[in-house]
Amino acid sequence: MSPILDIHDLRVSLRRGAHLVRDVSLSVDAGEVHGLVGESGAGKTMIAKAVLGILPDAIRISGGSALFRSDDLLQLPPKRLRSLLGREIALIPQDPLTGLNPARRISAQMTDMLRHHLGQSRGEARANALRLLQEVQIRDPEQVLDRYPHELSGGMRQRVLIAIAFSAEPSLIVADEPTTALDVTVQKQILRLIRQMQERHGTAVLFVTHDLGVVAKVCHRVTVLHTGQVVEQGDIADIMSARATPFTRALMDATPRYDQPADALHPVPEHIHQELRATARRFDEANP
Amino acid sequence: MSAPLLQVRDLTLSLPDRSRSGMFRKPPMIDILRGISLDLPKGQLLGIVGESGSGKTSLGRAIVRLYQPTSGQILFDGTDITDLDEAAMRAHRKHMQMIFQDPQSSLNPRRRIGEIVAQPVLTLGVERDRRAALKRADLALDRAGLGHAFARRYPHELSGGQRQRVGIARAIATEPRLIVADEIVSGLDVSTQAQILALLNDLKQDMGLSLVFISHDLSVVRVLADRVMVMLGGRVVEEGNVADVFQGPRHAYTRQLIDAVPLPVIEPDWLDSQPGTEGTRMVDIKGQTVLVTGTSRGIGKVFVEALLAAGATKVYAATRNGDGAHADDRVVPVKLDVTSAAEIAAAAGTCADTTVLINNAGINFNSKLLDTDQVDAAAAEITTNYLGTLNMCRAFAPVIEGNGGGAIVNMASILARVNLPLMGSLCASKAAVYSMTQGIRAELASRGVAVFAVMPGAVDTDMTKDFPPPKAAPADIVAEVLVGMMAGEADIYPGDMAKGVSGGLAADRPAMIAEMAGYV
Amino acid sequence: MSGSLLLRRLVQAVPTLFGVSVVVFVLVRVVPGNPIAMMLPPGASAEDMERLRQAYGLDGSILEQYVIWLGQALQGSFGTSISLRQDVLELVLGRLPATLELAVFATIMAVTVGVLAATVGVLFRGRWPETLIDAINGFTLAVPDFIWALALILVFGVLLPVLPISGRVDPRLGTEFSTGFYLIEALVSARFTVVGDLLAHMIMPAIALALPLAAIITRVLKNSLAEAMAQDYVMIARVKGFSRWRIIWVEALRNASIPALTLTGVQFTFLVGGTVLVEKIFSYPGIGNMAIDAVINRDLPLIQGLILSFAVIFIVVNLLVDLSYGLLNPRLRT
Repeated sequence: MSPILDIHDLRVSLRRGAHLVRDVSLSVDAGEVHGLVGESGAGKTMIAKAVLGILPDAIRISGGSALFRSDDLLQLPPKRLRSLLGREIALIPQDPLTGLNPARRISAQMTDMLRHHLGQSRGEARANALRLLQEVQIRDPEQVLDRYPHELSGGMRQRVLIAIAFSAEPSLIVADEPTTALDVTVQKQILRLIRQMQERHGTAVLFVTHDLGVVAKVCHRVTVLHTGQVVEQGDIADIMSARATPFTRALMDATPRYDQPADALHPVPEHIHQELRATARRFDEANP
Repeated sequence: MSAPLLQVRDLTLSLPDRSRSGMFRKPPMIDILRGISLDLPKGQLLGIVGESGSGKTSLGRAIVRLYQPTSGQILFDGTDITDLDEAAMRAHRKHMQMIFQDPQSSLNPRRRIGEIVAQPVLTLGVERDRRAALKRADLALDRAGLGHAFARRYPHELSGGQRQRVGIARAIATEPRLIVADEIVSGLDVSTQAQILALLNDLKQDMGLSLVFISHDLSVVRVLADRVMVMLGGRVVEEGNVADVFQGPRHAYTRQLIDAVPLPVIEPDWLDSQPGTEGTRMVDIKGQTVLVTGTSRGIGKVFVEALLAAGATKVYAATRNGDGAHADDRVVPVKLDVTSAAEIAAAAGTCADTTVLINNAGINFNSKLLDTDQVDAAAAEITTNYLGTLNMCRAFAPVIEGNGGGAIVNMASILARVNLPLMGSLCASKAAVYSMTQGIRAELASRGVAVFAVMPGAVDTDMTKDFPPPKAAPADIVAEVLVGMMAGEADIYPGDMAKGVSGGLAADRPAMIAEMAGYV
Repeated sequence: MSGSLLLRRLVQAVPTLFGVSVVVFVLVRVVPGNPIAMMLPPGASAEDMERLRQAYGLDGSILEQYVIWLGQALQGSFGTSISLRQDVLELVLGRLPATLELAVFATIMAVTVGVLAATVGVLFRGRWPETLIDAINGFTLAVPDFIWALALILVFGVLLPVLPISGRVDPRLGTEFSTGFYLIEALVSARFTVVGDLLAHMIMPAIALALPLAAIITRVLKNSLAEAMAQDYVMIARVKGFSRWRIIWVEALRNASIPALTLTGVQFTFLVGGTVLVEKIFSYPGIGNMAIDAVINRDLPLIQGLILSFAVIFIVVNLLVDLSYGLLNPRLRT
């Protein structure tokens, strides 16, 4: 089976020149949740934004390809890309607070794409929005549709954003730290919901996160990043085992756990960071 | 053990709810913290965990007197600092410092790091001479693991982890004895976070610091804390030694909180598991429309006030003659005699937006089972306490379900669990209520309506005038019921007496029954 | 909410207007200049002067004068103009509509230009259209309205005489108006030649007043639009496949317009102040023009009345601004 998304040697750089993502390759299969893990500055969000064509102005793609089925998302003319986005590719953002427009009702934000891209009538789109809200287990979906975002709790807003992402039955969803801003009990509900929806619809998910715990619970495969390079890639079972590379293992040892005492915690040894930074430097020297 | 450095006694904090203010109306007060007590011994770290809205941040700020508590006491090293004015507080400020989550916003971008760290040393009068203050800043920067070379730099030149070290250096520069740290490692990368945690641990040991460490992250607290306090809705749900609480949480909410933390281990069933809830869902009062029966006095009256303070949208205050008029326009008086089927049906129609029903109305004749001198107490108590509650549940369960789910709370009594010789018929009626509540809970299990049974001990109201102490204050009972609902405890035992009896029944039933018989 | 806001504002307006009246009353009476002397022919006797002073109530102390004035004002009488010998209220109400039409026309123009310029600037971020807009903007901000007025007269009145340079309407059209709102009246009664003539008279003073405001709106709105465009919900709209134009208009503009709106409310104050000079330059018969004459003639009752009407305009405009926040931001409605 060919992958839904096939990123090959993706290189992202500042317009001034410095590289942020250094020839990263990864693929996401249909129905698979692929974790993109790393600390800040590892390049995980840049990869997600490059795929979606929403990199900031100061940042450009300087090499590689990102095949969605047979289209290279990095080369598509803007109009063609826009017709893929929304219909075939969707986004679940990090912050449910800013992910919804404060000035527009939930109904408007849930139906605009259905109406403008899928040509549904006002009534059809509203009926679909209602069905989606029920699917993401929102009580009183009728009432919620007529509300403004500030009238909903954080967990509710994230459910609405998930409903929006799934609304056009996309085949790929990019989830950018979708639970980082949530309380821990709400996080669990949202993770469960994302997995349920993804399994039910057979959607491929590129799941960006810094949290190894979240990765262990929702991802099938994982790519671990450091300074814009792939440190490790593989099945979740391998990543979570002793077979993992030194950096991944060090990251695990530096993650506090409520089931382990204080002395089990070890900061990531500085030499591991240094070695990875040195590899990045060598890459930059070879590819100015 | 030496006397605690910090003692908090029954601390309450209320702030005005600005969203409900009007032109000629004072905004109603909303309770942020309710009766918090804690002891922090010298050289220890107390972790405070909770989700957003739990009041953990407000508690931290109240401790260092950034918020003025509404009531209660804060003792710092034996001195009561609760009501000190700012001038008098200054003498204590150098001994108690606070570190905030976002070091970026608390660091003046135009000042050099050295000056930033030296600033509290000067303003709090630890040193009068600028040179000496800068020297202390250098020392603090060394201790914070940055090195005094950083004193010449500006905040924007630093990484997030380095800025947080500056925050720590500034806090320890005055050589404080207590530090309140609010979410200081959230937002940091794991590798940076681990370093900061190690630093805090070292400082605690080297300087003999006491810390209050506030965090939403249970795992981080586990690493640092000696003791931990779990907060929910402005109250302490559970408190204890950190290893004990995390390994054997006693409270359902704590269990649920711990379970929700994703550990980096593969556990295929984790996403679908929901321990801690035991068939009951957690219910927050905020935003609910609540109907309370029997609000003319006693616990019912207190319920109305507590529900308003907890942010209920509307409270139907039911009384037998419908005279529950109230200053707050969220309160709607309802005439409702729970022994009248017609009135119950009418109430289900007029209060059709109810999401939470609190069956509080009840009567009590204090009579023995075999003596029937005046009225038949058994029949009257069964009619009001059992049948009244049952009929209310029958009428309102569909209403609540139709409104998207909610809760039913039935006020039983600890007497539902143990029959006392002098008030046998009351105990029987309460036992019936308890049994009925369990049955209703089972029937409503999958229909979005949480069902709670409340078993208070003796409460200090008109009804219990003849009862011997100890009697709990109605406000405490009600507050514990609300926390129990938020925590999703199916059976709520508010007050020490109720907890004691319930524990005693579980441990040694005959002994407990004998003890209770002696109590009357 | 908006009802209680309205009430609150009306209550707050009372001390504001009282304060303005006190300050103006005292100021116009302590600045040098004698209105009576200006009314009388040279060589009038001291007795004539004293009689006239009494007739206009200028003989008492400032406090006495104020109490009398306030008493009359509360009954709806703002005195008689010394130079024009007519009722002040009638005079002001007669001229006010001309100024209101001009100011509102100029504001609409400024908002339209400002919103368009800001949108284009954000749409072409970092490319030449933005640079051009910034350059024009900087220049426009630096030049005050009366210079624009003079420049416009020079270009479109003198060098290319295509526009009338004075008055409000051509008397040769011989139209009669039953209200002071000529433009609205002509539009309602479908007299389009008159509408054209009114607009031709209004266009230059309106541009002069609108340009500085447009520049400020552009600058503020461009910044807040750029900020709104960086929000997650805009990112989502982009991933939904909407075009940049649609995203700006549907998603960003409403959220970005609050700071610009606040500023427009404040700047409207300056715009109305600007009418004083601009109306004079174009001999436009509004209250600004009248204000200059009143000051030159030391016409104390008229100055008083005019300034109070300016104050009322400011209060009303700021109230409208506050009320419209609720329309833009649903969070401010609850």
